[in-house]
Amino acid sequence: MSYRPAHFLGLIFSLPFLLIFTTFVVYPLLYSALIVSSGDYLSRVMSDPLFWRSLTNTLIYVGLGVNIKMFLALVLSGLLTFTRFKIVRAMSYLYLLPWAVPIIAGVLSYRWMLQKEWGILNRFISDIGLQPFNWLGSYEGAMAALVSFHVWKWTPLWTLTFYAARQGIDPSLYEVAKIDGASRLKEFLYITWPQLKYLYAFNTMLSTIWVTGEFDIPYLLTRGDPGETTHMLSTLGFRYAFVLLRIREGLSIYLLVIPVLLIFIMLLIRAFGGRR
Amino acid sequence: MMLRRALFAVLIHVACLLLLIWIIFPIYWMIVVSFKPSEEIFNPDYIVTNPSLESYVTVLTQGYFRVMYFWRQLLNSIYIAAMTVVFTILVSIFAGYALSRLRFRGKTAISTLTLGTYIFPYAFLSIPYFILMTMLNMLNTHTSVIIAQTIFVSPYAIWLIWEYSRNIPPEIDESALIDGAGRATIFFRMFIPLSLPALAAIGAYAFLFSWNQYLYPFMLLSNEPDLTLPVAMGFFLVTDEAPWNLFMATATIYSLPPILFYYLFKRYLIAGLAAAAVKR
Repeated sequence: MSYRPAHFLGLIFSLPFLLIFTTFVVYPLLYSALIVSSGDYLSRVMSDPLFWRSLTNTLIYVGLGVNIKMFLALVLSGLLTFTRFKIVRAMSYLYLLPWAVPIIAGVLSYRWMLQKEWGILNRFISDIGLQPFNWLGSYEGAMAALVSFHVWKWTPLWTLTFYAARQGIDPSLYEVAKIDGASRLKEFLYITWPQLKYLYAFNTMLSTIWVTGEFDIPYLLTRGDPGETTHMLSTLGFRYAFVLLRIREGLSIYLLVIPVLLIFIMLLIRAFGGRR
Repeated sequence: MMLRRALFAVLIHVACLLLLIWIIFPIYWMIVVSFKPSEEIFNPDYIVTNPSLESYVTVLTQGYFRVMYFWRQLLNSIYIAAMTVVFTILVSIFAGYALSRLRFRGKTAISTLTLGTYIFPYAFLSIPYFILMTMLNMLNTHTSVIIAQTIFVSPYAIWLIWEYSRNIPPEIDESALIDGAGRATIFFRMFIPLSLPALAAIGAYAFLFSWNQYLYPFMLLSNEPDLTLPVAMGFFLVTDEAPWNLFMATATIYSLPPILFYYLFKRYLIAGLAAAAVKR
């Protein structure tokens, strides 16, 4: 007596998830599509220069944030795997802290650190003899703060995934390499990277999709300031809907992004689904 | 060779130290400012010279208008997180069992759907969800926040159970079936007890997720006593007055549970991530 198909039970057990998903995600999405297609909201949004600015900002934020973070995570995971230095070992208990601290708490601290008159960063900058900078009061400074906060908050999570994957690499490979006198760089290129490159690509794609929709960090850290220059697509849609009270325009910004994201998600599942 | 080695060691140490400072400093600064007495806030010193509990007392006794509902809002955060944990476990244990142990039509579609939901950035669903809640007359209810969060946490939870149950040999199910046990008995008497570590991981994950949420409670709740603490803390940033020691004390208090949780459940959280990483 082997596994009999259990159609009925399988569907019944999946029903709770399917039900809430259909009611609270699919239905409102279809309804929203109906609203947006009933007027010229899309063209109105696209004629707003702020929309294109937000698109550019999102691309900058995602491009820099995701790649700096992933590279740093790869390097950090290597340090934690190989080094026997005490300071690095001690670090392994602390370096995950930003991941545990809620975004709002981290943002409050960041905002006060970057404050131009009384912030500790400008104090430090003048201590080493440089010119203080109005971090959140300039476009470049605010974008740099956003990327820096993103990397600070999310590097730990991705470091852990690389660290876990490195534990799965056969240590005898490194021993053989050592006997053969291979350099660290060669070890990385010929042993580590071939085993981590799919994870690296997967992580980068997954994170790109997630960060495109990141709301909390940009909204709390800059709220589009200075002068509405640092909006992302997510915060611009929110601004339309809940600040300007033009909910249909806000909706159309989100609905414009969704199909693009769905294509990316499908590609991601296609490319990596088979590897599971 | 020796010189190169020593140079390498120094380089690594310096790099790690700089990195460590960057990682720790915002958290250090949050705690330092929280202990500053009011007259020292605008005095940017790297350390606090006269540590004082003044700000903590003010927050805990709700002695300032921005923290007027501190306890109430903290309870709201706890309640919403706890309910998210309960509902996530309820939804995901069934679906997780179905996907990992039962063969049925539509299984592939459901697994793709959960994976797709997991990957989808949920901020873009916020306005449609807001419209639905308006139609259902559910704005300003904690239930609306709990439902949204359950949907966003469940896919990862389902997937965790699915991954974890690979370690539970299917032969157990088969021999129980031969012994005449029904599927329901197997599910309740064997599958759930054996999946407890996975459920612990899911609980920790759902709690942390809910504790960190800003967008959905911010959008859905507007009555000040009904807010969660992060939403109330978001309003610190638009105030004209700047009692930053109070803000940092609130932030520090709010950060304690997740940090504690993280260190308690580190093993489970990392095990879940490890399964994810190795599988990819």
